Amino acid sequence: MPHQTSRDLEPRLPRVLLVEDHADSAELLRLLLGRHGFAVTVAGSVSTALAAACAAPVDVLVSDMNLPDGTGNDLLRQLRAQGSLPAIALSGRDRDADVESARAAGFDEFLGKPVSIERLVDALRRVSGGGAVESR
Amino acid sequence: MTEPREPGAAADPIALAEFLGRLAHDLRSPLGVVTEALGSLRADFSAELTDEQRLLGTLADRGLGRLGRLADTLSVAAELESGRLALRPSVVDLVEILRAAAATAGAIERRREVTLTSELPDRPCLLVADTDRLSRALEEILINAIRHAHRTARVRLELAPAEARVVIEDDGRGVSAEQRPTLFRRFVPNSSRAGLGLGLSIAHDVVVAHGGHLSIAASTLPPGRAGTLGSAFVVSLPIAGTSERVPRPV
Repeated sequence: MPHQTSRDLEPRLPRVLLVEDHADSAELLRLLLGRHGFAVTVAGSVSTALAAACAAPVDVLVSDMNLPDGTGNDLLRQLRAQGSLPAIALSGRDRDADVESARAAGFDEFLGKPVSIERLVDALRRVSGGGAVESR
Repeated sequence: MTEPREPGAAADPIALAEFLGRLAHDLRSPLGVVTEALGSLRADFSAELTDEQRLLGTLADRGLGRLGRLADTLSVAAELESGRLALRPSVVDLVEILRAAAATAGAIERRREVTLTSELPDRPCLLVADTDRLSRALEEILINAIRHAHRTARVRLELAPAEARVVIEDDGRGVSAEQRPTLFRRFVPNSSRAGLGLGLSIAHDVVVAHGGHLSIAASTLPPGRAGTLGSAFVVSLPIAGTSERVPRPV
């Protein structure tokens, strides 16, 4: 029987698929989420996000809503067709209609940009641990 | 006393120009504070910063650069709206301007999956222009191309005896017939990925002020997706008689 280390007993933080086509925004969130211990894979479009989700397991989706080849809603619908996946929407447009549209597509949380890393980490913990709470 | 404007009525151009100018000014003041404070912090701690902290500083610098550019955009829009675009013409090298504009646009509009390529001649192409204004116009068209590209944006220069044609194209979804009439109109964003609807309108007005014209055609790049054809923005600028021709103000 393999020896069990204390590290094995620690709860594993979610593997995040971050979908953001603006390079600096993606780099900043990747870096800051990494500091909080998240394993982050970055994609810049719906098509590359779908490919990334096929290539490696993902625990949570964090997606911008306005992507070059579709919307965050398009992406989530396609990912959810393959199985359940907690999801957080990021958007610079946070009118009620935008929030409702994301909610209808199945996003668990909607965070308006600019989003602080603390709010994003809190939201990641909520959606991965259950008890989704909407915040703007 | 000024009467309140009816909803939907056109804004007074002079009032709008003043508003845009003040907005640009009010943006620049805090931007200057943050830029200087960040620079001082970096100077104080430069020897102790980790690579990750340096990257954070670089990202902050780029974000500030984008905000600074926004303030400049509002300022130019204010000049155009008031009908007083000041030009400082001199003999310039269009090839050099295009190389610099491509570098600037690539740094500002950093997209993860898009590459901007340049096909420019080795020899100079001289014409009379305001370097800053023409650079800005070309940067705006390049930024628009990168923003709307699927994978590739490209700038190339075609030279005719009396005209230089700058072709900036992308492999995105193209411009629809419905979008064309308002493509160069200020404050009319033409897609969900457009910004304030200022970049292309500024580019158009600056090119016209230089005696040229800006038109749109189909891209010659391979389609980014099946069934789509990207856009090619064509800037035509006169190059004959550079010694006596001076751009006209708008």
